[in-house]
Amino acid sequence: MLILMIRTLFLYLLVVASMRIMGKRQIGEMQPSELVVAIMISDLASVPMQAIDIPLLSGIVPVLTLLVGEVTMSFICLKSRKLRRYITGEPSIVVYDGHVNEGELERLRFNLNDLFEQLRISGYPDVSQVQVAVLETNGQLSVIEKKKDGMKELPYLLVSDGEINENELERSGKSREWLEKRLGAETENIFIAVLSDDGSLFVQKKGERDVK
Amino acid sequence: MKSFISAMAIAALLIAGGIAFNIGIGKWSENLMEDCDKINDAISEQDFEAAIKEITVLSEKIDNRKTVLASVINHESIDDIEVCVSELMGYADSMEGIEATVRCIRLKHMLEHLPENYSVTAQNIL
Repeated sequence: MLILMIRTLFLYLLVVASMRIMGKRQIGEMQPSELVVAIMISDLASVPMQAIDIPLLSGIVPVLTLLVGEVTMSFICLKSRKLRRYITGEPSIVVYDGHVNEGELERLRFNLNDLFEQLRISGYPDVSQVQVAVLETNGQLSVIEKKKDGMKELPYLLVSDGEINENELERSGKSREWLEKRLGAETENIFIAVLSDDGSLFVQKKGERDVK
Repeated sequence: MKSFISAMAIAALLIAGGIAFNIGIGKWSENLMEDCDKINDAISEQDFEAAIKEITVLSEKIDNRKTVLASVINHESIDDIEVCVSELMGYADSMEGIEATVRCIRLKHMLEHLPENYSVTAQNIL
């Protein structure tokens, strides 16, 4: 009995420490890979908890290996936008200016019942009042309402971590020359550049001191 | 960045520990198999006193490493080895040559198989 208690406590502390090392994102909404890791860690830790003839390391090593894998994958996603697209996917616009993107729904295998359920839950039962509805990579639907006095556009993330986002640039209707002129600096030094609905461009350079 | 460095440190520890364990258990197993050969030779020469001495030495070697082994190897495997050693001792003590030889061969096979179970091979991975 005591052995079971000690093993359980040890593995519990290990799982908590692992989740902390993996970062705050684990505790909030999860990406698919993060959800898989969380489920696997809990499953792996529970096996040696119950069976005392299995060495403790049979639980510790797999948990630590998953921790290493998850942190490494997060790091790769941070550094490479291309790999990020393959590993975590990209958000998809399913409704734009009141129009439901059928092709996108089909591609995502997201049926209309699911869409309208999510819209109702978000507080927007009338799809014609929706400017943009984005299906995020964690499965949640983000909804932006149409402004009463006109359309409200989703901000355009034109530059992300030093790289120009061609899709967003195209969607904004702006040219590369316009962007480079507005930025007035090499895009490699720009952390983010966001073009808002009102035409203002928010720019943050790399290496700027974080606000605590 | 801190998390990434911690993760890399853990990865390095795991890999180093894994390699050290594989090397260690291979050497330990080889050493004990040599002892099994000595026991077998003593039994075939009907020198059961010498066989009992060797079995005692082998048993002590296993006892000395038991804690470390129990942290990595399935406890059932360790129990099987210990039971086999006890049986071997019993048969050697009662001078039953054939049974003792069979137990010795069985023990040697278990010891030989131990590092194979933990080596990085396609068979073990699949």
